[in-house]
Amino acid sequence: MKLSKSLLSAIVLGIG
Amino acid sequence: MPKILSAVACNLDVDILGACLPLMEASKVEAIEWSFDALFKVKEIPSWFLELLTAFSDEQRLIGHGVFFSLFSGKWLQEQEDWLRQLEHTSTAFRFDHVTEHFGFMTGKDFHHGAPLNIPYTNATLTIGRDRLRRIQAACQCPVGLENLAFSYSLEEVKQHGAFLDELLAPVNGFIILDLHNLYCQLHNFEIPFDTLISLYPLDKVREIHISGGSWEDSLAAPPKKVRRDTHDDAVPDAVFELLENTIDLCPHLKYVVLEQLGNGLITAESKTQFQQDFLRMEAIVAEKNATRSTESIQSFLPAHPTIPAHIAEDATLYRQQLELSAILETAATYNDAVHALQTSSLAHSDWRIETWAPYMIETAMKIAQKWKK
Repeated sequence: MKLSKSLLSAIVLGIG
Repeated sequence: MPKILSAVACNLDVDILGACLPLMEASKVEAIEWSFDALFKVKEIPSWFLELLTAFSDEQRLIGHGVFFSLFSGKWLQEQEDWLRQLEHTSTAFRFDHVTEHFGFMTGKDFHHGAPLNIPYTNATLTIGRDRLRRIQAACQCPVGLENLAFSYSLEEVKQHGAFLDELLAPVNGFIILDLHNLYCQLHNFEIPFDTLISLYPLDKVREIHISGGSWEDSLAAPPKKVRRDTHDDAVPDAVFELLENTIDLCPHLKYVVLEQLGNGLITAESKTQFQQDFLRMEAIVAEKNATRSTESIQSFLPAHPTIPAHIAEDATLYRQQLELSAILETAATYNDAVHALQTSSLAHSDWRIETWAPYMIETAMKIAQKWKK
């Protein structure tokens, strides 16, 4: 499933 | 047959998310399984994690996997009441495609601690299990399923597990998560052939398959026996991938194949890479199987006439025995101490059939109970 770039960026940021 | 989706167990854990992220960036993850009750007491879940859940929920690709309900507790507990209320709340915030729980009862007096262990297969436990499943289904308003247990005390239990699951799930038209690593544990621990064991499961009830890794442990009670344990802390063994290839075609209503691993097994870069390779290997098997499956399934796994029993099923004797067993397993210093305590307990010469329990599995039960005791 394709996730939005903004969500993926938020996850990256979120997990440090 | 429905198209099978390749999924990961994805929870609010830095190492799990770190391992899953490259797969998500490559749009490989088709669904996620979330242990929703692990966050019941977290006051503030990060917005980005809620957004991740919502993204999969909106596509009907979010499945819930409960851990702490203690399905077969002989006594109805306030914590179970609270758990159901929170599940109902969570099910309005997210749209679960289905919700599952574990088979067994949790050791320990404190509901939220311990590990699930097996129960005797009797009319009393069947009644309690069916009662609880109806309440879970009423709370989540979606299909409900149970996972086959990795732990068994005896070969007799192993052989009866599939049929008991079938009876248990019938009133809610529920389904089975067939955990292939759990099956692998039993194939090894009880030296039973795969064809024999798999034939004892109602495979038309399988909607989800789990694959994971585990570990070996030497038995002191029955050397040189090695016990396979479902510790979820290592890569998926080749043998489990072989089981996956052999099992998918036997399950006409299979919809999800889920890769599980604990965060404590995903700390290093190497372990994260191995997890990603395991996922891609799983995905390749699923893709190959999907190529030859038709796309229609008429099995909704929803109850035709959902009902909640007026009275809550309980069994005071069963509850006392569960507390007694938990105490023995959690406090016995040695295997011999545990056996002596069991032989002089109310479980002796009862439906628990402790006289048939394999020594190395009693020893394993002690290790599990003491590992998770708080």
